Amino acid sequence: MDQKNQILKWINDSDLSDSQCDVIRDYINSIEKKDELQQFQIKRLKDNLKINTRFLDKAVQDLESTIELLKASNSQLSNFVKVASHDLKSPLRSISSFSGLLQKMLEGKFNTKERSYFEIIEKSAKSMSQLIDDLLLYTKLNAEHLNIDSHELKSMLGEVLHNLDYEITNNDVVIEDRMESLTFNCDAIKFKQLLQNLISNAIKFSSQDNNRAHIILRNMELPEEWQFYIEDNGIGIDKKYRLDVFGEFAKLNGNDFEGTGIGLSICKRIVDKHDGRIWIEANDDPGTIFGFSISKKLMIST
Amino acid sequence: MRVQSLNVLDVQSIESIWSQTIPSDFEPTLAICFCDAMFDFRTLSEFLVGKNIEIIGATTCGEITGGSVYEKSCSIMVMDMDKDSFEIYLENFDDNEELTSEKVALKAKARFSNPAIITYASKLGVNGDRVVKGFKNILEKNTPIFGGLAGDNFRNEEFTVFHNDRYNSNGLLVLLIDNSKVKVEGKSYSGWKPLGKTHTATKAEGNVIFEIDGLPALDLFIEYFGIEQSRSEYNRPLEQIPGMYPIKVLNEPNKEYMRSPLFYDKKNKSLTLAGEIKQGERIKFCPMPDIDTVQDTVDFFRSYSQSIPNVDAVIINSCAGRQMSFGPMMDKEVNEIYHLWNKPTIGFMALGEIGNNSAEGECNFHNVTLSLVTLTKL
Repeated sequence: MDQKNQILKWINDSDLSDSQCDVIRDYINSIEKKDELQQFQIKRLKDNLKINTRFLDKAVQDLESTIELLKASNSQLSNFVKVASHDLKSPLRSISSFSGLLQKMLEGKFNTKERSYFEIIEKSAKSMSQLIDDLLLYTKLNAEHLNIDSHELKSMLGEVLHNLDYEITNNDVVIEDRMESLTFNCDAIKFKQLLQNLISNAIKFSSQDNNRAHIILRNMELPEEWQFYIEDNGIGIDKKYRLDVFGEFAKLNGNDFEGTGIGLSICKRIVDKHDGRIWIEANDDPGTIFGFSISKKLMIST
Repeated sequence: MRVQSLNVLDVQSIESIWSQTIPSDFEPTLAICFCDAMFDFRTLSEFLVGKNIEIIGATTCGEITGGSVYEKSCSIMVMDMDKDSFEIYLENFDDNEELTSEKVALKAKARFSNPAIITYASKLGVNGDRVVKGFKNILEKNTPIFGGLAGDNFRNEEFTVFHNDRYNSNGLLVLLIDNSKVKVEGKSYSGWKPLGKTHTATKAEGNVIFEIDGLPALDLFIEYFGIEQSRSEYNRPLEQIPGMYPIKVLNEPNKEYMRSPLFYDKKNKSLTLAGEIKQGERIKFCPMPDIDTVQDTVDFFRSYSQSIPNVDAVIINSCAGRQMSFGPMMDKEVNEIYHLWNKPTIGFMALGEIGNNSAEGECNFHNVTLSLVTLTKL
């Protein structure tokens, strides 16, 4: 006889009234029900744990195969871009060289209209060459690992400004350097590329206005990251495009300005690789403020 | 509106239970009965008709009265709803279920300008989606349509719906209510939480799903749930899949619905669901329900009860598959939901539920869901 039946027998044999017996019986039944529910829940949890593990295994398998597919696809794309870039650059060089040769050979024999056609050919060849270079750089950024080391900001900025010296002088741009000295971990080549792209952009768009171009460079330290700002007094970017400009081939302000549309994607990719963010600050004044951050947690590459 | 609910295990005891439960000054006009297919509902009908009460009913896979779930019993709800506030139709099903419900919907529309439908179907293998579609073809989009598919305690031999002395095993029973006089409201909720990635029903027709993500549906199902492998260990053969591992169909935002696999075909590796699924629909698998499923459902209805705290009666149509997979948790769910209103409550375990699970109030056909409807005299 099990425990429950034994207790029930005691109750039946006892001198308790019927109503008292009912109370005890109900109590025993409620305990039995609770116990049954608990046992069921434990078994169900065990069963579901097995199912969850299967789902997790499947998810990991799916993830692994997706990663493999992505790797293969990335590698194919990289190779394609390299080959395509090489194959595209050769004929471009020919176009540029022979156009130059033709100009020399026909010097003094063509009119203004014909000269402008040659200029268009040269400009287009140069623009396409830049596009191919940017594409290559962008593709390389996807594949390359960062070479993180400790670097001095001012030194890197100095190199960037030196590289941009011609553009700065030619466009009569005032660069106001408010950057504070700072030594931090980053990939110097890529960081300089990032700064150069953003300052070059600022020069390009500031110089379109009648006002003298004025670019302010500044930085600040936050607990988790370093932040850098490039502020210009140019034509600005419409609020509705501020999120889109970092996408591939997104050209700021349409086709009014030179550019491949990859520059800001390259910037975003570099920032992403540095565990940072890039954004355009909402400002009501004319001009644009580009901000980006670099994580303080980057470890020096071994 | 005065309402009383009672449960009878044996028709012979109806007279004594009636006299103990129903006060002498209470004169019900309408009785809703949900009973086991083996219960002598004919004698019960005679008894209630003899008291000048209109009786409607359906056979079940389990009955609910108050906060408890019963088997092989009859749950009865009697109320003194004004006779001009309701109408009852019992139609034989045409070959196309949609036409049958369209026919009733036309009558409903002619009878009341603001109709509400509570319906039960007894045809074996009835297409619940088409029944609902027929109503929706004729009635306004947000017309309350609630109810479920009758059962016979999983024997799958004969289901019955009835009205007074008319019994039909291929019928559509409709309790039409004037929603301007007696408010019919409700919600459907499953509580099931999907797991894993979103799949696509890449090959499906009617209520049969052949391929998921381009793979045989049955193979994928077994792979995810390991059903056959655990057959001996957990005694969960594939034959017991109804209600265990439902599929959540993510039709569009706020329009999710549940589908329960009922049968499988090892030859073509398909799964037959207890409702339609469209090719291309996105789906997610769900693991077996646990106490969180119950808690989530109760919490959902708790929140709903706070929006309509004063009702006269509660009718629950919960899925029979839910009962199978919930085990002893089913009692807990029903009991806690009953106590949200503490009003006369009956219901039954159905083979498909009709109810509202959308924010817009649109009613649809569901599986493994608890569909709850309340009646409130205005």
